Amino acid sequence: MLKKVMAGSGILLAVAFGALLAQDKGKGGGGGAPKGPGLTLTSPDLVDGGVIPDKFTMKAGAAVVQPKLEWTNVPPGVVSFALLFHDPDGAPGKKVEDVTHWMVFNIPATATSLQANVSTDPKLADGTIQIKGTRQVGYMGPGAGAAGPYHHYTFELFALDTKLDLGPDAARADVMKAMDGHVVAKGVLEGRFHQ
Amino acid sequence: MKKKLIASGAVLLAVTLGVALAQDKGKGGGAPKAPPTPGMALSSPDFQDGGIIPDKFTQAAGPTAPSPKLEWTNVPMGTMSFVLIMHDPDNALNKTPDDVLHWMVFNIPGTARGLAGGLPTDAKLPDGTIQAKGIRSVGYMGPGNAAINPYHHYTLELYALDTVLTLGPDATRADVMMAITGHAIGKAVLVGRFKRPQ
Repeated sequence: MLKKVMAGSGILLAVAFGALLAQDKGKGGGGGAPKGPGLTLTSPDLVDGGVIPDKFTMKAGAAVVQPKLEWTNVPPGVVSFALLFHDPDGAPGKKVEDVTHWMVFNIPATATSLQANVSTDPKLADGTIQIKGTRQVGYMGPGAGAAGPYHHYTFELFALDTKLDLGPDAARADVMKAMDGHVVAKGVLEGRFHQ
Repeated sequence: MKKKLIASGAVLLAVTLGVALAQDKGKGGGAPKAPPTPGMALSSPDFQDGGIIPDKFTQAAGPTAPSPKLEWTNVPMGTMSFVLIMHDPDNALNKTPDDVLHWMVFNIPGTARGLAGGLPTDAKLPDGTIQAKGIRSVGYMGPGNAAINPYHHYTLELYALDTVLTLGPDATRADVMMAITGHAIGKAVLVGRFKRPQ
């Protein structure tokens, strides 16, 4: 058991070292020459810029599943992650804030993925908190109508140098405000969909 | 001459009627019910939605690369002006949730159905269109993401407004967003990805 723990820490150390080497000094200004690749968000279930398969959308009805998400090139000093999944192709109530499909924060810094079908509990065992999106707590699949153009469902991963002092009753605006000044890196993955 | 005028009047009427029929009642709420008519759509003949932006429209072609041509359809009834924002969400500017603003254009006339490629970088255009300063300059700033990074997602967002903004070229992005609030009767998005060639 002790051996296993030690081996685990060894891996953790190696990962942390890798992240240190891969830090992205160039990000955040949009201009400078980066030293390493920026935070990279991917999914084995989606092609970046491509069309989201039906099983991850409202077309699947009650059987909808959430795609697995993975990230690499985490900069040093990350204390937690937040994930926002939103659809910019709408202006609900004639306002600027678009449709929130999923928002999760206080994901532990050691995490490098979100498994498929994360529970829809507001508080997860590892400290992760999920707030209510436009409709519900937890993942809401894309649902753009068949008659319209493709919508651009955007996953935004924020690497933070802090944990957020917020609970599951926080609004998206509260989370954005709390992150202000703490976003050390960002990664984006975008999939398109209409029914 | 008079005949021609009447003819263009008839075309305008037909277009207006078409727009009225095509208005998007289903948009804006994220409601699951399928909209009966298509929402506003933004496209470019210069790159595919979700695809890669060609080098000629990016900083790989230098700091004054031309803007891509943009076109839009299914404009909601009652549109008085349009706002176009191009931004790169793959960055966190000074640790804030604000991303990098590449281009911001507002008071595009409600009759417009596109923006010409290589739009002049003047703060005021003859048709009343205003271009504000992005993160670096007035007018279009092409994508510049480094080759070592993952693709960035350059996002063009077009807002149809039921008003004309009383802002000048010195307006900030926050000013424009605040002025839009309560007036965005339609929205359309186009995303192109880019990183510099190795």
